[in-house]
Amino acid sequence: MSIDRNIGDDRSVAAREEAVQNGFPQPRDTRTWGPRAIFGTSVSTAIATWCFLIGGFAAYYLPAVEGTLAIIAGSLVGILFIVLACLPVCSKYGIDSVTASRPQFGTRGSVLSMVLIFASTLGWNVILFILLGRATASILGAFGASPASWVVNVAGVLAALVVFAILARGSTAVRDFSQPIAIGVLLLGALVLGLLVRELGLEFILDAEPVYAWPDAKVNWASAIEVLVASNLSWWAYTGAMVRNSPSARQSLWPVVIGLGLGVGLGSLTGLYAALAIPDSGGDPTQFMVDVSGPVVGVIVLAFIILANIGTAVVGVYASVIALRQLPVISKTSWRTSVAIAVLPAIVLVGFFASPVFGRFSTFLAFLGVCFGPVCGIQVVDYFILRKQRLDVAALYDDGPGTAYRYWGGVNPVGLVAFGAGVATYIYLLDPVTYESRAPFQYLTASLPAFVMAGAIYWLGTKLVLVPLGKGGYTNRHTPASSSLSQESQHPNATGTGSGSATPVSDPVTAAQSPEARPN
Amino acid sequence: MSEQRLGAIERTLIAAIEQPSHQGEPLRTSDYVALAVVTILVPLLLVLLGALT
Repeated sequence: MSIDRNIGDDRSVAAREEAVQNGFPQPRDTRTWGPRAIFGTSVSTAIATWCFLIGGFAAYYLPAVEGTLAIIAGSLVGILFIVLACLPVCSKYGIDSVTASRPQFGTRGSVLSMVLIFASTLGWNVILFILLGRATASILGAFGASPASWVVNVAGVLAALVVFAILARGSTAVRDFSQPIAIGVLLLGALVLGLLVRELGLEFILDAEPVYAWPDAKVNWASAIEVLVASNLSWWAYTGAMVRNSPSARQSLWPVVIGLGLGVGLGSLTGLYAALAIPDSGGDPTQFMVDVSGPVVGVIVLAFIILANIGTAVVGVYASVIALRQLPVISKTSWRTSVAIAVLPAIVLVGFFASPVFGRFSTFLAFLGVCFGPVCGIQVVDYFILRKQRLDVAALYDDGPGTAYRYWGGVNPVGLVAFGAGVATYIYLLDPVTYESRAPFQYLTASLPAFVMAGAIYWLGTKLVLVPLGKGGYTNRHTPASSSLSQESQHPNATGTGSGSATPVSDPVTAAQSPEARPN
Repeated sequence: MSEQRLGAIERTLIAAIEQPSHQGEPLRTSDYVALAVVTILVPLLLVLLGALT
């Protein structure tokens, strides 16, 4: 049964696509991303210049061999949280991460997710644009110029405008643009690494000592692992937006684990070695490529970094737009306007505050773990344990009185308290600004306890508060026939539900001709 | 976000996704086991290896 055949004319197809862009469920037979597209987008998202900074941050604590093991371990652990929280639910229902968080935070409380997703993607994009600006300045330097500091700002702003121009074409631009970049970014890390080894020697890199190691080796291990776990947690923002375009969670699983999870780990290794060998660089190749490889190769590599960062930023801004369009006021605007709204803050930050923003990269990494660890814990407990992998889809989009995810005024206080408990747990274990830690951080990191604590508090609050009060749809197991939407489905414009039989999704003629068959 | 403001297309999409035939193929138990091995067991072994070296 094909949605396109049931809603057959061009106007209706366009209306459906716009509704999907606004966060409504994407039916399986309209999803066009295969494993290669998911993998390509994942790799081009994960392996960007930010990897060099992440690896450079790990180099504060561990030397090359131990750092390599910790980085790979941390990247795999981090992606587990994301896969469990996002992949099953977003793939099953064809929804993005923000929509998938409505059962836990409420139809209006999910604004929290929107803020987090927007802040995280904005942060990464700003980092990308600044690094792109630094690469541009280094290229100018290779040609003998002495670029002023504002070159970084201007180049970053121009890159943001390029991203806007690409994304204004629509969501397919993400797939079209990211796939060819994916292969190139994989080669980029290997090339930078090869140049470092050739110029500095393998022994030099292996013998280099970490710059800011703590006295306790266990703390150093936990710190390096935490950096990668926290970095991977930021894929919460990207994963839902990607996997909802694939017809199969099974097809998306390993592309996400390898492309996003292991990808950021492997990509960070170059930053680790670079930061150990050239501590002042912090792992950022834009600061040493010309010196290490000479002007010709250096400029080529820097130029490619610019292209790769634009590719990554396209995916990041796309995720931001999807999040923003959950807001009714934004969803009523055109796609192009939404993209502009998403890009504008990045332009302001890069244009006027590039230096202070770049200096807070470590705090930004900690912010990712502080926020997304608890969110993942809550989602995993809710979806797998409390709801048995079944959502009331109609209630995701309906905040009317008595609907399942309305809770109190559209907000689920249990979700917010659980989130707060997770945040407090993280901050207790690891100071996001100074990176000073408390036991048992050295054994568990901070993200894992925050994940567990938030999930446990949510489970407890649900059992003690929500279930007894009949809130959240936990007591009356949802069946399609029980929802108000499904009662409406008796209308000719809507489908019969509940049987799972091959009944038409809708009357194509009626649906297409209905005045309501237009995006809101 | 109230349902009353949803158009026919949106209602059709919501109703369609309730049907298993329109939902994405789920992960199987074997997928979760493999995921646990790769993302829990392998990291533990890596940390152990690092501690031993």
